[in-house]
Amino acid sequence: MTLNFILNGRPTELEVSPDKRLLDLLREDLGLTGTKEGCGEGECGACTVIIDGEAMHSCLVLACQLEGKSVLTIEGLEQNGELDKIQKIFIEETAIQCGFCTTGMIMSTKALLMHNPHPTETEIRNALAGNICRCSGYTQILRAVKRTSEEA
Amino acid sequence: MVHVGKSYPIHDALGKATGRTVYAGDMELKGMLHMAVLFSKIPHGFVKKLDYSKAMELPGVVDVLYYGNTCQKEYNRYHSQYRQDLIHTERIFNQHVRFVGDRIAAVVATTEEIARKAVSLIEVEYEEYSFALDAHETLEGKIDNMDEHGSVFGSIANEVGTRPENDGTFVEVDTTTHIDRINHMAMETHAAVAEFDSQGELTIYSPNQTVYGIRSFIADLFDMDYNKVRVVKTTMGGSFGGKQEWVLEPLVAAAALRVKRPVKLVYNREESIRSTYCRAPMYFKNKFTFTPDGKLQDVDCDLLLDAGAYLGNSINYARTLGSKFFRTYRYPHETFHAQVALTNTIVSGAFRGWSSPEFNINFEHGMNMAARKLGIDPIELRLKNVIHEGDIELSTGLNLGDFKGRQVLELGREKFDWENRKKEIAEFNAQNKRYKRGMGVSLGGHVNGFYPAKPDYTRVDMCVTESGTVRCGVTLHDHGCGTVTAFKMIAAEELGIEVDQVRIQEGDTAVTPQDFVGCFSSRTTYVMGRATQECAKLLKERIKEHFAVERGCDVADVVLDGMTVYSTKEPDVVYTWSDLVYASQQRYQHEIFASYEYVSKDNPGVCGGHFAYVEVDTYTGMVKILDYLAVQDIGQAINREICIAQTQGASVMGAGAALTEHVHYRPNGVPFANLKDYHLLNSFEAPSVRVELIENHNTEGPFGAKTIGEVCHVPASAAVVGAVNDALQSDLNDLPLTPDKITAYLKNREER
Amino acid sequence: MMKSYAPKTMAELPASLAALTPESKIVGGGTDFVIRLHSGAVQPDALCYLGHIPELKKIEKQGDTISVGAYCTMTQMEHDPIVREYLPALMDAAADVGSLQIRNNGTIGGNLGNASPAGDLIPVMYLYDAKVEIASPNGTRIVPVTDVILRPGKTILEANEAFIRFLFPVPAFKSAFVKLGSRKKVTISRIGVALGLDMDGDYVREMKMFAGAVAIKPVAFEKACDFMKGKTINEQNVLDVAGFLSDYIAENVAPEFDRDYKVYASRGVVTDVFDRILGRL
Repeated sequence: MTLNFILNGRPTELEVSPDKRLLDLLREDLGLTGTKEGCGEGECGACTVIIDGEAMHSCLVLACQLEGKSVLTIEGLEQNGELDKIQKIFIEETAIQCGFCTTGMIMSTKALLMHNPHPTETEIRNALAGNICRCSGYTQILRAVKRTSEEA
Repeated sequence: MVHVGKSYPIHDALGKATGRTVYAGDMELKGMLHMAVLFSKIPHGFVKKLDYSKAMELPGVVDVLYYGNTCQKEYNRYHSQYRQDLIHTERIFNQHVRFVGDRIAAVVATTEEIARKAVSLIEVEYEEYSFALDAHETLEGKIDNMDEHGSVFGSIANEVGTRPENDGTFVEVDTTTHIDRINHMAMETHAAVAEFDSQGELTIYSPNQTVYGIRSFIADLFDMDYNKVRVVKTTMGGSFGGKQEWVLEPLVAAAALRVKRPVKLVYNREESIRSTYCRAPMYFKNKFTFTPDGKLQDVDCDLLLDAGAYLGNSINYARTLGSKFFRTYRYPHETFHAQVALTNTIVSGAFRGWSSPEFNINFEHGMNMAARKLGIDPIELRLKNVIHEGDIELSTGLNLGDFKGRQVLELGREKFDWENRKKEIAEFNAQNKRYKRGMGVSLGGHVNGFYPAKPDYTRVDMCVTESGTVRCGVTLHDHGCGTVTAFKMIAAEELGIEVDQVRIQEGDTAVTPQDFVGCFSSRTTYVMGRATQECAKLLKERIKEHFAVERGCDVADVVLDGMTVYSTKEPDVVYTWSDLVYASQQRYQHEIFASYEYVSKDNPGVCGGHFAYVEVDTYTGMVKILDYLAVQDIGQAINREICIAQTQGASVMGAGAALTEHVHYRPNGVPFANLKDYHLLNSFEAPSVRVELIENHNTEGPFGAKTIGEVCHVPASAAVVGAVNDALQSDLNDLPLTPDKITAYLKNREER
Repeated sequence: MMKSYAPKTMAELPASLAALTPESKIVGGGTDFVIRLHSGAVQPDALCYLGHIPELKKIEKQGDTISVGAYCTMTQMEHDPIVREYLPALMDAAADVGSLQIRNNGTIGGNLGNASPAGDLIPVMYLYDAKVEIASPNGTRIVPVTDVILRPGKTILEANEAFIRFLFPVPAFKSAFVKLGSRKKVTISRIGVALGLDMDGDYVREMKMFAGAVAIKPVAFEKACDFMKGKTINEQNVLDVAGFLSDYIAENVAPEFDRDYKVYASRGVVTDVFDRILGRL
């Protein structure tokens, strides 16, 4: 099928099988490997992207569902060479270790703050409950999200 | 200190935050092919017939590898040192399949999708054998046909010290422990890439903990010159011990050697759980003997360790566990006996702490049960028995140096408000029928490297570049926990320059110094970090010498200041290091470089004390962690926030192992190998772990540091289990303590 | 090449459905389906996605009926003011599904279409006497949700039929849903209890209770409801209600489906659902 959708703000057209997962489409067809596969079943959140403003697992979305939708990936966060504030603060707060969960974690944070610019700690924990980090115990991540919301 | 003890982001944080960092699974090489593996669907049997004709016909398929056309030499995945003495039972592809997930064949194709599709087209006929899913079944003789070495390995036995005379007042405490199989669950699943070039050099790219170890293993397996195998460590998305034994590397090597094109293999999550390795299931039986006032006299410990389908490191693992007895408490006598049994399950292997956490889970449960029986507070009982500074490790005669176990317990007791909480808990439990609260403490000791059990040394090279910055060669393998940053900090601190003025290349056998040990056993900071500090000292001397030659002055008068150098005799003549490099090149005709080899010469006691406060829902068996404190005896934190983050992550990982994590088996031998069934604590459930660091700066480590990454995991599970048992006044130590086990226990108790 | 249909309007829907074969699959959010598709467990000849049709994403109150489009997501139901006011048990169930990413993508139609015994929304649909409107190339039909599930993974939907919306009568009772804890053990094992209460002061006039994940379809507990008639909600009565659930599980659930655990934990989940509904009385 011919798929037309918005990827990181740009209209994108591509020939793709309707059963291709968005994750594979990004990584293989478009070379956007910032989105990671950690489990392939919507449990770890490493593949999180934002579709029409909502955080979703790109491993559970198919090409046939994407027509006309707007997809934002980690590669689309930088604006004019400037990091998104979330990225900057994740780095500063030592919220990044092995990095494999990081892009998904940042995308979940981005979606959260788009909806709720000043979340409580419980709201942050709830919004990130679908993103597993095996390195940190979440403390630095939660702190980074909180600080981003305070500085917004 | 300017840098050491402060907090810096991990060196590649920018790439990770933007998604630009390339992990092995993201790699693309020109002409690269993709590999997918056919795994056994039965737990034990023999492949009678393998028909891959349909797979070969699929457009895009380049080759099919299987036991009939691939190197059939037996190996041990734990092999990482030259002439290492190990029992070899595993092959790249196996016709005698020994677990669900054993490798039978693999397809190499132009895309991963085609390779996986082709794998599904391979037809296999099995002859099925009887199988064992539990080590006790193996002891009963259920699988005597596993291989010529037998299915049970043992007996490992040791006895240390002199058994004290029982004056008739000794109190004996008998305990049992069962620890189920857990997986590392690094967020990055396993991946590797190999290429074989026209000069006959094989290059392997993988996230791993020893590039030189893989080089030795691969060269031995394929009978190659060590110089013809290059191994490059890629960015690692977490290891926790899961990337120090060789599973994917021999597969991609075999494929690249055959097809002479780059080959990439990425295991998905199911494959990573089922077909790499897990922490071994273990069964313990113990007798602890105390004096009535709580002095530990004797420990008798019997272990049965489930090796899984191939032997791997299991014998070494059981033996290592047996070496942990005297790194936390002092007492006069111990006996240890262990057997290792194969089963038709996932291969057992290394896990963070390399037997220390398992040892701790078993031992600390004994301490808790003894405390209850003796009527002594659990912290008090530990204080009566804890090792003191300068004590000798009974088994090795080693001085345990500046061990801070007592201070850890005392600080934890104060910061956790232990005494007041005991009263609060008693009141809460008296008033509540459904919810019960409890507290647990665990003290766990560990090592800093291999000394004195094995050789442990390393070399570091440094030179000054034309820009005046410093290149440091040390064979590091950053697991994703900031090793590179810590080493840049160590070098920069010693050299008196900025952290970003030091560059460190991670392990690459073509580039970085030979290091035959690897980043194992908590040696990285303690041993390699010290080597780096010493090399930096030497480099400073070299810079001074070069300047003395250049200016014809006395070395003793030369002073380094940031990236400049001058003599106190002519303070107005200041060279930048960049100036000095130029001068050295043009006149002195020597590079400014240093090379230093450091041999580890001690291994001080190091420990963590963890404190957990939980609430158990006795209606549902759910456990909530209300508070958690980790106190670490660290000597000196290098990168402070990373040390804290490591400790918090280790605590949450240990809490998971205590409460939820295990790879469960169906009766037919098929494991539940996915994250729906294997429950990792998420941000909603994870406790906010408080961390206290005790820093005494008094070791042979860099700037007085000790290890952190493993030792902070050692006490975690036992603290949580202790808290649950305190809440329920139970004696459970069958990990994980799932709601099912807790409610089954409560039901039995109600019925009694 | 696999075919794909994604009609954008209700008018285009019949033609798309007409093109489907018994091998074709309707894709909802995809949160369960894509896993099976990717593993090769299902190999459809065509995929049909109806999420572009605006009517299927709407929640509306029309007189005494609340209509929920089949492609409404869990997140949408969790936050929708109509759902929160009239169908709080549906809000509870939607809010407790998986992670936020799953709730943002998973749909009510998919939850029923999967026909999983553990489907979180299904006991709530039973509680509210929901009906579902099914479209085919020749028009639509409306059936009670209780008639939809045939066996795990199988519904009455024919090859070229699809759920388009759910119809909930505005309930005359208070309601809540709770499922057992958030921490899972091996395999999906949780009990979900949907409870409805019509109170006469402190006394129960009428009660409705359905439990999910204990049988292929949600189980009604009529005897427990009869037992509670005219009684007050106190600890003992709640534990007695839990007794009906645990007795049912003991007698009907196979041991390998975590029977012993579910028997024991019944009183936890029943206590919790009563606690939640008490907050709404």
